[in-house]
Amino acid sequence: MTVPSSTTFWFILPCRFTKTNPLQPAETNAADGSLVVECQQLTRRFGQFEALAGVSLNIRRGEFFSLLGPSGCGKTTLLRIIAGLDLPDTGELRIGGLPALHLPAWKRPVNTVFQNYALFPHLSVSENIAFGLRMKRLPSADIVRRTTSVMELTQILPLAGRHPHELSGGQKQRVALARALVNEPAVLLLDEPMGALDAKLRKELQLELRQLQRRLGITFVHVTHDQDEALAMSDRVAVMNAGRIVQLGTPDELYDRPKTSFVAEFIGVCNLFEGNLIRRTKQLLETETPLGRLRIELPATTIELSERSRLRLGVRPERIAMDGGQPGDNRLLGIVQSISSSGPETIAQVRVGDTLLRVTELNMGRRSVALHAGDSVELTISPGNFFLLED
Amino acid sequence: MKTRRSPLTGLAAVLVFVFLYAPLAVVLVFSFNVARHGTMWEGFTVDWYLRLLDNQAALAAAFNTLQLACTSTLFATCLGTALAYGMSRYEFPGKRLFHHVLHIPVFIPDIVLAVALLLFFALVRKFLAGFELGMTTMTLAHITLQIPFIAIVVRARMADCDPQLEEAAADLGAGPWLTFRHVTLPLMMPGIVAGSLLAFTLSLDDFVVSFFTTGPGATTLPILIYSSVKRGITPEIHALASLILVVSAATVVTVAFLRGRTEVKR
Repeated sequence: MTVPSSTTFWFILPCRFTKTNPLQPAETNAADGSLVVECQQLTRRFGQFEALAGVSLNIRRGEFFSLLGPSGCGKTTLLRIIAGLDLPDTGELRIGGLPALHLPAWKRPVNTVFQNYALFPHLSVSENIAFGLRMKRLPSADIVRRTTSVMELTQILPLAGRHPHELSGGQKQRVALARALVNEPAVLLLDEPMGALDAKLRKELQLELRQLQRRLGITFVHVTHDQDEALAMSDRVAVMNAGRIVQLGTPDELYDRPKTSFVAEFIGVCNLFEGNLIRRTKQLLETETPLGRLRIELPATTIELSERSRLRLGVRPERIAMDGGQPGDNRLLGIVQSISSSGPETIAQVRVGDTLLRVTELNMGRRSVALHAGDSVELTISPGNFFLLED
Repeated sequence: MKTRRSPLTGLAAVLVFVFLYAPLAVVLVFSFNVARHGTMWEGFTVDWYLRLLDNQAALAAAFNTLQLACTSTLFATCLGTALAYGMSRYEFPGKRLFHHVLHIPVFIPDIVLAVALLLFFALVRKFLAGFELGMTTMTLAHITLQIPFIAIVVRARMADCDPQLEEAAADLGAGPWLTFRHVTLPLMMPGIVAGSLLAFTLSLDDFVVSFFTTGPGATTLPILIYSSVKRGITPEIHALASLILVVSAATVVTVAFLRGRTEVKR
């Protein structure tokens, strides 16, 4: 017997299940703005290495929160501190409004899905899942009922009698998830839960995990180095680097308005360049850049940055158009250096002056521009498509 | 890939088996020989085994041997396991040095350990009236002999276990005792069983350490055999030796079986 590996939607599960489900449906504890995890100025050193250099962070009840960053940025250390598996050198941590640092891991209302799953090899799948409830000395009837319903929820009921060494990577991941969820934690911590899976399975599980989180309304804190995964699943993302949070926001905010070149380059691909401010009228800036004279429109929130005379600017490759654009766009003349197709999109390197711009365009079924290397092309960029960096 | 074997390999194998097992086979065969003296085969009998049952000295020695092996293995297993757990889960100054020191009793000749223990017990006797050589000293000596073997086997097993499993148990609400009871101990168990069976055979066969640390009245089978042989080898001795051989071999095979099973599982 195998578990269907294709994406299955949670809402087609029988109603009977939702009524007896001990895991609360989303309506009762959906994001209500109250804070479930509060970190204040957490620091942690390992010898000379500063893993956390003062992290303050609030996580709201019911949200899907991701800690994103390259390896060694401190994201896993932060997760382990929340779980109680590590202690900070300084700082304060509250879980559910109560101080938590004095509590050992086994007394905290959080559960973890470990990166390598850490399933107990000497126990079967159902015994693994029942472990947390057995430690709490619940009546065995309750243990059976809750274990069974969470195995239905994660679609691993047919695997109940197997041992971990008889499972595939994706199945282990589901068992690890079920083992954590069955305890109905206030916060579910996920440490690179898809790290060991192949790309296709990862995409399916991303979607499933997101739907599961929505359905249950449990707060998920998810650690990853994969920016696509973080953007696809999260309500909010904290981008970390060298033990600090460099930017925190919704996926759209991080993508559209990165504050630093680190965030801009870590999340997605971008073209960065510098410019001198010539004139400013309200939200419209006129700048002199290596690309020529550009008009830039900024949202009111970042307008104070334009007080500087020297500006760091960026634009995403897909926000540069090669098909003529709209009236009022910035127009640049360039020469195509190389052009290739990835299937869904065309990727071009275009030289404008001395600057090489990366331009991508979706293949919408009309190859409007049949371009070749060496052709000259007119690029258009809408004034609102630029972003301004702080560094 | 299959490689051609040299005929010398086969010859070497035969020689090794002859060297290892021919003397044992001789003892086993002659324990069923009707002849009381000499090396001539005069017919099959189990008489010598039946006679052992009437031999009070042999029965007492067998009882002593089993009691010694069981008691010392029990204590050595607890201490050796605790040692292995401590060494693989905690950091302390001098850990590396201690790790190497632990192997010394495995490598040094039994006779050196035996003499050292005898001297030590003599020293203790000076200060502690009533501390006489006998079953107690022999048991203590065997525990000393066994601890490193158990600790090394259990430690090897623990090195294969993911320490994150203990973190996972804590994360799921198990305190230190429950984590040990439900996760660490079951994972260590194959190592503990293998180590204690190994230690049990060590104690069962041991002559040198027992001989030096025993006292009047506390005779084990190996000591009994040694003293009987001085008066001439009888088929009864063959029978006794064969029994020890069978028990030891059975234990070693059990260890190999248990190890094999845990290997397959992972």
